[in-house]
Amino acid sequence: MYSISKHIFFSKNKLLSNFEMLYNFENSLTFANVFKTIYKDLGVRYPKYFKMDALSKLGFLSTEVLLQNRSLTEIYKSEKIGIIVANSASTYIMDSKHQASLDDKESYFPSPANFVYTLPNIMTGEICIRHKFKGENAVFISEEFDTEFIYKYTNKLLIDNKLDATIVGYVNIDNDDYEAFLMLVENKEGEIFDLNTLKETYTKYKLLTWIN
Amino acid sequence: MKRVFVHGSYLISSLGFGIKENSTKLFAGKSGSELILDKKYYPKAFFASKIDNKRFNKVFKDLFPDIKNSYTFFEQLLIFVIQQSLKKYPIDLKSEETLLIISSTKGNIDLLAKNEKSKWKENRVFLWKSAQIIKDFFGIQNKAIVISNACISGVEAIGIGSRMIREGSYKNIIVAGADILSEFVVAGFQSFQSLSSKLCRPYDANRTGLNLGEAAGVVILTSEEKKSDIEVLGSGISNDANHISGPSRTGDGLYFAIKSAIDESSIKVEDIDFISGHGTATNYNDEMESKAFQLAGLENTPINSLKGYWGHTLGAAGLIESIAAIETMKNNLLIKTLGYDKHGVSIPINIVKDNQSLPIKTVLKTASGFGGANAAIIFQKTKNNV
Repeated sequence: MYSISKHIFFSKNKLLSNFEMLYNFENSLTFANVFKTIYKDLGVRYPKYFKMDALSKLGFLSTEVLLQNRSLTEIYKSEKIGIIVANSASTYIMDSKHQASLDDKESYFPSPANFVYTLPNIMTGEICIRHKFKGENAVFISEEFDTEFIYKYTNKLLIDNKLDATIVGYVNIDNDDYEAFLMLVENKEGEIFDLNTLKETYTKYKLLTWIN
Repeated sequence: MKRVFVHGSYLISSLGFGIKENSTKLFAGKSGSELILDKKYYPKAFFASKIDNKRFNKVFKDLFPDIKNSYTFFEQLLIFVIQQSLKKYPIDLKSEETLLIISSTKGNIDLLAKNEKSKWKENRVFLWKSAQIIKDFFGIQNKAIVISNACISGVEAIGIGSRMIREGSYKNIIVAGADILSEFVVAGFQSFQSLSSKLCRPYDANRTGLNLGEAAGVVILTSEEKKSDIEVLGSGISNDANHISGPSRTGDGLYFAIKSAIDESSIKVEDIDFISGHGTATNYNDEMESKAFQLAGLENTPINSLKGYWGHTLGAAGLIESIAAIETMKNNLLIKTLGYDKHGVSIPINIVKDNQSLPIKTVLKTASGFGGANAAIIFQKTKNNV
């Protein structure tokens, strides 16, 4: 039996957990300001965070709230914990920054610290490092969150016993907007992880952040 | 459980167009890498593997005489290889049981450069857009799936494809991968100081880094056995959870991926006749791989790396190297690790130094990459072909 233990949604400067509003910042604030405030408020001490690109920071903060000091490795083997996420813009913000360091031949200076963050799976890698997830991981790129495919694929990994617990969802950021939707799915009793629940939960969050 | 068969392999690389040209040169020990001086990519000369552009433009026009020039180089490569693959193994593209999976790390990233930007719509740089364009070109109904997991993308894409066939929603899945040389990627790897100025030397004591390359490859995965020589038995993906740009010191991440693939395949470690390794010729990667193969009990199994022939073709690597592994199985002939001379990893793994005839039934293909990701997949000859 695979069930949803928790879900979070972070978009438009609002962060909700199990449909409850945890943070609600003014729309006029930049995402950088919002991320900084939440990082401080969570009381996390993780110096690597400051080196991360915006996509990794978004994934990192969302996962911190989703797991909330829970250590999954105390219950499951590291290699049986995974992360399966979709994304749309890949690492567009960092891509543009890296490209800008090449475009001007007068100040040509590509930086390895930027270049490494031009891969979308660095975001999942950062989450795996932080929480010691060593299992299945994937980053799918789709225009919008393709709930049906992500559900089918994740469910297949669970029923094949490739995973006992996994984070599944969508993490995306570009110059205009950001959105993270994450679910924690575990091999235990509870609200059943199925396509309808995944779809309905995501749609409800979209509505909630739209209204508020 | 449904079985997954491999059909319609096709590739384009620096070594040439199609299976025959590529495998002839692989078996002859010819490298496609060379010193390139082109300011479009980098201010100084660098060593890499490049597709013959002039020739590609010609064959593309010959194959599609009616197409106007509205596709990028990256898209053209994928369109071309998929068309060739479908010629070999025609499938019902409009069926809801047909899926296209694209594997790439950076896709149309060259369009982001200052002098390219104005020529295309802004969203053309996104991987989902490329996938949409290619799906529409072939009239495939289902949304195309894109996997972008750095250097493991190609192996992972075949793994995901085989899982989705077993899941039952699809009968035929086209898995295509490509990456092209761009200033973005070349300058990025240069800044990382991980490029060798000479031909790369996987697993060698004197290795000095990797060569980049561009390529495109495709396989069609299907639940139909008809006339198939090869099947996918199992796959595994893992993460080191150690460092974003440096591989694990112990090799445990890659070992978990290998173990997961072996367990799913219901085979024993001893059944694996040959390993097609990742072998980028960077110090840490090759060392990590040797430790992982020892952990898996595979230190005596013959292993090669093909990076000396094609360079590291990123999202295409897992596909074209899997295709080479399949050719190795069909010909019962191991291809030597070009560039390898003096053993340079701490574990005495069995690196193929000279071409070698050997009956090969079961192959393990692995990949590892930035972000700490690892992938393993197991191919086997079908029973009627042993």
